[in-house]
Amino acid sequence: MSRSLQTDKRDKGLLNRIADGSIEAFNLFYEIYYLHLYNYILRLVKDPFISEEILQETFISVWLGAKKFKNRSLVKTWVFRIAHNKSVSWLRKKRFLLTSFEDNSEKTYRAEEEKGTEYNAENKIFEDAIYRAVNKLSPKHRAVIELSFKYGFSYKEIAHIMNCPVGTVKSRMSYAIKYLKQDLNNRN
Amino acid sequence: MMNDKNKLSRLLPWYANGTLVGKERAAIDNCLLKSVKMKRDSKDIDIIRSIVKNEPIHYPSASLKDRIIERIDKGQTVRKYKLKPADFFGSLIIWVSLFIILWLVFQPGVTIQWYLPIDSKSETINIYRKTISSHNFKIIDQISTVNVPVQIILNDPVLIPGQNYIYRIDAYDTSGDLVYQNLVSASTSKIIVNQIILILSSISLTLAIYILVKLYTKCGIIYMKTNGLIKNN
Repeated sequence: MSRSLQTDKRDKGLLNRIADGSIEAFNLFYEIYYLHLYNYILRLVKDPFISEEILQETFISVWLGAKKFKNRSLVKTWVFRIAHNKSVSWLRKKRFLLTSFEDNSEKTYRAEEEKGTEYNAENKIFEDAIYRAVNKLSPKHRAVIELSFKYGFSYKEIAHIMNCPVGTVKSRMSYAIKYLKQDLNNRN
Repeated sequence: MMNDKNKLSRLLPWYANGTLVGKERAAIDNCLLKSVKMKRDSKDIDIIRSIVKNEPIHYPSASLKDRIIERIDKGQTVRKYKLKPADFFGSLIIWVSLFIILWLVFQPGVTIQWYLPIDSKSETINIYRKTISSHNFKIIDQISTVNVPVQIILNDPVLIPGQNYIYRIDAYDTSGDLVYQNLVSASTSKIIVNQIILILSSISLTLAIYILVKLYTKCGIIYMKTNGLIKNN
């Protein structure tokens, strides 16, 4: 049995226990996923405070929806799909908010990000350029990059998480890669 | 050929993250051996991937988990209830029972009263009924009398709304001779409004009963958990 299937078996066991109301299983589930989900959400919404709120809602949805989980996908895919949907839903609402608020949230995030980056100076410039380029991507393109490169999802799984056709995932990835390369070339 | 190469090139990110399998993976392996451009693209994607993969990790506040658990403990999370077949049939049974009970209580019956002549000396009274359209009377009640009552009251509950009925009363003396006969017509009203109220009332009552049962069960579980009667794991 592959490692991802073993992990999924464990996660499904936890979900079953969560569905029965086990707080202990919920704690374990939280410990496994909170960091991945938080960083993914943060990448999309770029606001630590909002990311925490979305993460909270994601785990509440896991608690409430554990019974409804059907074995159509891996647990990891399912939980990322919830986080993705909630993030996208918030981003849609964000369009109606004041521009000043958007600017502030982005600034806070960037300041935190810079604080957390501790690489040697030689690589830092290049890596920072990539981060900035990734951050400039729209959320849907950024999501494809993050899900694929950071969390190792297949294109089918990404299509399931983002609720779009496989072809769209591939197109978005192509566009994102092309954009990142172009951005880097322009800098060079 | 060019098209195939483009298609394969679009799969490179998943070749890089190791999720590409089977024929697709083999095709890319093959293409990488032949195409310099593909090799260069693959290298670029590897670089981007390794940088994205090593992005700095951010941590949410330490109290976040406690806040979530607190919300769960306080029951601030309401599970969205999905109607199950058992719920549907359970409710249907409650609704039908309530409807029958309400129908029997508030049905469109008639009450008729007769005053018999004091000197009729009747011992047995038969009451018949028929609809306007039918020809034969059907006996619906038989009263044996020791002391002949002057007043006879008939409550006929099981009737169809908006229908005309004819009632006949026959009084017989001890020798079986007919001593009194009377015909009365009565019609039940077309009480569509009443019937709708009846149906809506039964549905509302069903819902109320259903919610009460669910609430009682939930409160019971919470009570048992807080008092340690059942394990709160």
